[in-house]
Amino acid sequence: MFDFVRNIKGDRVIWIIVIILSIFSLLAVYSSTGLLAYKKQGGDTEHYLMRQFIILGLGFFLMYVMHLIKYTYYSRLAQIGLILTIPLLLVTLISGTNLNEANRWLTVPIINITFQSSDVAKLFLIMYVARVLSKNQEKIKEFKRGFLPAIFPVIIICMLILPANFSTAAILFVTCIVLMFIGRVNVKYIMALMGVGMVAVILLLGIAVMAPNLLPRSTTWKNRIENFINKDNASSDETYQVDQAKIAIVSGGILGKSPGKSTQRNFLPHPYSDFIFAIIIEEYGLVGGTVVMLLYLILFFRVIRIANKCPGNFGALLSVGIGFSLVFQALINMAVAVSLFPVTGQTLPLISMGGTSIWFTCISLGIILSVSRRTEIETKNGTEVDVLQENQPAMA
Amino acid sequence: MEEAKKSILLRVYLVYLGILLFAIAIMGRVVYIQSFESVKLMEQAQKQELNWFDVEAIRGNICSDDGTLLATSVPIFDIRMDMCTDSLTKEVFRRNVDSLAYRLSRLFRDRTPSQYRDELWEAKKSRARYYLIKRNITYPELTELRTFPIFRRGKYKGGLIVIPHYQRELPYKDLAKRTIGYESKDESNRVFVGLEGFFSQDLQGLAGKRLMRKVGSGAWVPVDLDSELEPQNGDDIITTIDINIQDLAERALLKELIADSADHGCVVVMEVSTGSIKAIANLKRVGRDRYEEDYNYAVGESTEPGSTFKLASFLVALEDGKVDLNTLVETGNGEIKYSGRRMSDSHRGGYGTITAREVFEKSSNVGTSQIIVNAYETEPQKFIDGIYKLGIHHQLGLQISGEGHPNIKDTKNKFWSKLSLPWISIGYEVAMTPLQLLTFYNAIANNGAMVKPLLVKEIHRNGQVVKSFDTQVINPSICSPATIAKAKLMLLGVVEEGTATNLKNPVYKIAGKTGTAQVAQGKEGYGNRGGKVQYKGSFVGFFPAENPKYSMIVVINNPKKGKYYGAAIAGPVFKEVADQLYAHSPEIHYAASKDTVYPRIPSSKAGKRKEIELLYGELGMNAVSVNPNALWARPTLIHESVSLIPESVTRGIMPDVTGMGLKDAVYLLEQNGLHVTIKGKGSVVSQSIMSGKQVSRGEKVLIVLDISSKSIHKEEKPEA
Repeated sequence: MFDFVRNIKGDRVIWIIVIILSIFSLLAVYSSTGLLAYKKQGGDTEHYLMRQFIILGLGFFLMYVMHLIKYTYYSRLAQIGLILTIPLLLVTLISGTNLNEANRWLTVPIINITFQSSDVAKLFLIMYVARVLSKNQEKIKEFKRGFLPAIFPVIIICMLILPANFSTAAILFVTCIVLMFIGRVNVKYIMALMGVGMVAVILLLGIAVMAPNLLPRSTTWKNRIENFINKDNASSDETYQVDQAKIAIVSGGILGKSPGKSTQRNFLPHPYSDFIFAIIIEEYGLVGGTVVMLLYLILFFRVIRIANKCPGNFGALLSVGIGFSLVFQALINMAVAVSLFPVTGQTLPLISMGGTSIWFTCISLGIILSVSRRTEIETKNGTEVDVLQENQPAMA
Repeated sequence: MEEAKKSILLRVYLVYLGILLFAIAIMGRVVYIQSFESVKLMEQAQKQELNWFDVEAIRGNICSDDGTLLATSVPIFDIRMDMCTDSLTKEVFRRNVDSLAYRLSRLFRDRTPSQYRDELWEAKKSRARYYLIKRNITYPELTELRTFPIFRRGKYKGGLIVIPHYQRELPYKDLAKRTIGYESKDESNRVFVGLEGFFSQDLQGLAGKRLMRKVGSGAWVPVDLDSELEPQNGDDIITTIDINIQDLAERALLKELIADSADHGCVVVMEVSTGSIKAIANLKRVGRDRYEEDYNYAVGESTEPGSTFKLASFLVALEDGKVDLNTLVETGNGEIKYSGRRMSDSHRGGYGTITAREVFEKSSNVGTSQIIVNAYETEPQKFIDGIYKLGIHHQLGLQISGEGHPNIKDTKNKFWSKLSLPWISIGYEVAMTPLQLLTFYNAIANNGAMVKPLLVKEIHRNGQVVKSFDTQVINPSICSPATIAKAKLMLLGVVEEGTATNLKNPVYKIAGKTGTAQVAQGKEGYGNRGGKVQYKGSFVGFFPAENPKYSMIVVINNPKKGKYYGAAIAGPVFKEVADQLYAHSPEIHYAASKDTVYPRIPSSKAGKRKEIELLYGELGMNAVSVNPNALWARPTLIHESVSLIPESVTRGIMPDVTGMGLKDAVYLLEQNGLHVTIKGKGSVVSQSIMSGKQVSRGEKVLIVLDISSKSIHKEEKPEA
């Protein structure tokens, strides 16, 4: 145990932020699962609290394990992982467990755990893009040798995720574009790509409207977007969620109703995931909401600090890429809760109730901490092994 | 290299700036909502209410011994209308309201079309969201209503709100109504009587819960499917009652009650070996020639039994060796005085000196009391102990509430007097309910084993037995086999040459005892002081006497047409029920002779295999079951004999219901969750879904019935 604690290395602030977010998670989940517990667990309201506690504990462990691994290994892992991801996504598309009509989930046989294959894809793709960008820094401004090798896997993976999970595909795409921008890819090409992307999305929506049967999820997208754009005509069911979230925000006020006093949790369809930020504001007020927001901002700031200190480009791009993806998803979730965005179904990383998605978040944080840990060790030793290794063609 | 790193860092800070702006936008949005949308949203929040509602569990059925429904819950519907649903524009409403009003008026016939139209317009103008059209309509009415203008547009476009709930229905109306039970009219709380009450816990199931939010004027809609706790429907109660015997008993009783203008009466039929109550009828006069099941006399009315109790006296004396069948008893001129109080026989002039057996058969009060008084005058408690040993002084502990207490006092009782011994011996100063008396007589029929009356044999959940009730033995042997044999002889003698010779018939033998009691009118005693004498005539016995199958008691209270002897008023009811039962019970007598030549084999509908088998068996024909375990079968003619081809019935697979009657067909289809629409009558000639096809719950199916169709299948012969 003592060893375990002593072995916790890497950015202390990030560890502390994870713990604070976990506490928020437990409180919010406990408060918002009353109804679910009443229905599914015969009123055992502690059931979901215990479950979340165990999941977070396991996540913490995963994070610890990941941060012990030397981050340069992730570069190699990304290659293999990305190739394996493609059949995984295909299988999910064809036969995934059907939740809310979207084929997003895959069940691991034997241990019977379901996970979103897009979570796996997300992690490997970011790793891979970071790897390609760092490897090609010399010729990064070129189209053929700089832009194409990076964008090609992004388009493939995002296309595979898109039919089942539009918002995840979009967020992942944006994350990769941002990562490419940071990795000094020619802005000219990025702008051109954005243009093409826009056209693609419009085309897709066109198909969705004309032939809704071709894409099973398209009706949901259409409704959600229509409702968001055209608020007056929105069907009462969709505006209902938004209104209820707003009521939660208003009734929270500056200081909130105090923990466990939420009433809106009963009106909101999935208070423990999609709209958990609204419940947090209801119970902890504008102050509580700001604290959660600041935690994510500090988290991202610490990630940038790690990237800054990290001697090599791969470590920097890897940590910033993963960090951005996490914080971006968090902001999207919050933007939905305050009805700045249409309903997407994105969870609030670490806080929303969930199983495997929390573990993937923890693994991501573990990778960031691995970069931080290596940097600490290496600056202590005064060597820059990392840079040397990265520039070796064999390692790439 | 350094240059690149610097450039990367610069870009990272740029991205961070972007994130920061996004975060500020989100928090700004929170502040905006809190400051500028607050009033409107809080107003909305004030209006919204949330509440848990019970979701009614469907009360279980009460069934007869073969599963026929005796009490069931049928859905009925309240019809309301949302006048403000989005696509029900004023234009659409204006165009259709006249024809809607007309059809509503035609359907319910409670208001004129113009009344309906005016009311609908008023509701529309006041923007009612939950306007009541009609309460408690039936399913067929609902089906028709859904085709009406506006309503045919459905819930969202037409504003039709259908609220289902359940109503208890007794398909056989008054038949055994009091025993089956019903919800009493008590306004303040739900009270069930009869089996409904006793098995209420099992029948009621477990209510579910549903979280609902309030919308508009008093209407509640479910929040979402997550917030629902499914109700658990009630269990089914399978009684021992045979609906045919019940019907028989009830009709025979009613006929006699009307003939005598009697106040009330009851009939109970019990299966000897199991104690199963096959019929329990209770009728009370509610008007001229009008009788109703109102009070469970058979279970609850504990009164002086009179002569039927003499059996107990004789059993004790026989068992103690105080008397034998041929012991001579002096009955003199039919009158005797005990402590100055006169006791007389109904037969004026008396019987002189007769045997003990004749005393019983002729129901001599003087003879009976003489036997008992002579034997037990010095030790009356021994007589009482003998009765207690029979085990008839306890309540039976029935599967129904309200059982009357038997009252057989001992010598220490403060009401014990010198008169008690002789009067108890002839059935006065004691009290028993008809059912307790029947249980006692049934023990004689059952060779001494007294079994508890059984009203409910099984409890079913989703068609599976979850609890079964076996016959319980109260007293394995109420007296010695020798005494039982003598008792049987005497009981047979009552019908053969005693007080009930009107029950005698050449076909089968009945054993039993008549009872004619004067009914105590509270303080006024037995009507000696001016008031009219009230009588209670009864007959209790069993048949066929040699090998009893059924026991039965008939009690008729306060007849007003002159007749009052038990044999004369209760006897005919007993005989009518017994005759029919005997004629219709293939188990009792021999099957019809087999040598009759039938010109052709009659047809039968397809249906339950056992029922078809029984039917052909009854006709003296042998229907060969191809699979003796099959539940459903189709009779098929092969080489001039009937074979029962098993009909496979699998959940989720459309069965072949052609050739079946409506009841069986609908039962089978609804078991699969199908919505059945019916056309025509007779037996099924076609079905809209081919048999063998996969079906899912809620699917619609049409079956067409026709009378003229030949139900029996002819196996196509290859050679012909």
